[in-house]
Amino acid sequence: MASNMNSQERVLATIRRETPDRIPTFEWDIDPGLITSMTNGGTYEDFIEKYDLDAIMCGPSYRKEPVENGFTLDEWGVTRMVGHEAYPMPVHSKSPIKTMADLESWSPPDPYAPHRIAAMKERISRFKGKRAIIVPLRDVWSNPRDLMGYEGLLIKCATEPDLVNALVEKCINHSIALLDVAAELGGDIVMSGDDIADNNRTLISPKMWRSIFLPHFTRWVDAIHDHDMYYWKHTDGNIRAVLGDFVEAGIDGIDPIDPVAGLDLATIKQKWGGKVAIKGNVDCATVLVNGSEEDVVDAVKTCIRAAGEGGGYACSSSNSIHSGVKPKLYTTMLDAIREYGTYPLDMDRLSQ
Amino acid sequence: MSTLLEIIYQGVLEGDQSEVGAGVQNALETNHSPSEILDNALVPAMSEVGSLFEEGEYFVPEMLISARAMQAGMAILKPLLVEGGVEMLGKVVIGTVQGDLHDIGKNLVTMMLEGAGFEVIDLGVDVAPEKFVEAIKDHNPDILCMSALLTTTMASIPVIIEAIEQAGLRTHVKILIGGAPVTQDYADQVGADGFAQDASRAARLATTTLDK
Repeated sequence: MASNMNSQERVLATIRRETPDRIPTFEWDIDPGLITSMTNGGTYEDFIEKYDLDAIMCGPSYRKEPVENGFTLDEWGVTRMVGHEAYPMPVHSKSPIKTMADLESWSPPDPYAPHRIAAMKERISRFKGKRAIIVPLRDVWSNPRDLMGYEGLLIKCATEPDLVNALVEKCINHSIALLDVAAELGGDIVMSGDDIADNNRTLISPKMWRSIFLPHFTRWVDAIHDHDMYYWKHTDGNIRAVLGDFVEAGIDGIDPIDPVAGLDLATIKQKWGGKVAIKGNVDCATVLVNGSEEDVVDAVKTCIRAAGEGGGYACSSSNSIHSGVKPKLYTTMLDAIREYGTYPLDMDRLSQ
Repeated sequence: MSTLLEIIYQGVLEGDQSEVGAGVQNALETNHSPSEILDNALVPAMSEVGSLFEEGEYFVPEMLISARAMQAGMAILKPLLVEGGVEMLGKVVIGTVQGDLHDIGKNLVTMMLEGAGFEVIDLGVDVAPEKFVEAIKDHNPDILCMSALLTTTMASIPVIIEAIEQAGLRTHVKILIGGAPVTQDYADQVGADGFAQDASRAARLATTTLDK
């Protein structure tokens, strides 16, 4: 344990599973509307500074343009319906890749395009050395899902695994190329949020996951480490059946230990805490939406009791600070993490 | 079960569209009635697919290709069933609630409901309360199914139920809800008639709801 760490040191100590000065906190995603309202019209950067989050997401940018009423087309060739959501799902019927011929004539966007990295570069230069620089990228699932459509990918996994395999390879090569950029600009940690499970279990069988996706996932994790960065894997859902695969592949951290899917922070810490850092899981489906401030403090104390001892733990929401989270409950969470998360932990106080 | 019906049944389990399409055609040509093919091959096959899904043998891809194979058979049978005046098990209106654009879960439920013998009217995604109300008036369904993937859009569910109550239609239809953040407690809280955690259980719940 060390005293007076800055945010970057705190997060890096945590992902190395060392004990920092106090438990760090940061979020995979924060709703843009909340950012605006909680900073009086400020930016994401202002939010990070105002609420003193220990890490900042600095990812590549992709352009999209409106193509017809209510739809956008992005650089990947993916069409999405414009709605109220931050991440609208692609329109399945307009998926650019349906056949091997489609795939052969398709190329991913240029990873080194100037507009891809301009904003990322500026943000990293502002925060480098002060807060942990997390580069959000995509691993093996989300790009193929967007390019084939959700149903398209799931069906092709069963009917044309060779096509899916070839698509995953092309997509992961793009993500690996972006690691050059991330490392050169000063990224500390890569995070990817490809969700491969629902509340009950993985969307595809563990057998199918291992045969089509895992080899690419392992190559991806190796490439991150070859670029001297750490890897914090995020996925929603019940991932019990494949968490061992993630760990075996070499991930350094796992997020967010989805309570809605029945994952228990203490159990995960006990089983995997010796091999990976853990981040989570104040419930953002219930406590941070409809709870009282006391509920939030209790939830933070429960999380710290479950996973805080010995370090290797970052306390955060159970997914993201989405538009339904009440600002006062989020700031209560942040205050409680700072109040109860200083090492050495006061377990008596945490149990009260 | 005759050999031809057995072929259709196996074709659905294996997700073999062409096998099912050809099997249904052959069965019709050898004097199996459309309702016999539906009731004795397609519906039991999809019921077995649901069981295999619940048991953890099948995952979403296997369920999708089975449903697709079943639909290949239904495409042939549907006009004949309508022509013969054969009544489906029941009628369901389904949609993803206003503000929510996710449709994979809703589509799976639709397929499993069709596989259980329901006629399903799919309103799509981002469906406004008044559209649900209109659909109840237009189609007179037995059941209304709604899904929400996000905590934020889940709040549309009670709004829609309220709109249905305001229109005086609440007693005309059973309301079943689902989606990632939805729970049985939430269903009780908002006055829905039922909740299911996955597509297979949704189809079973719809069937038992009809009996109530």
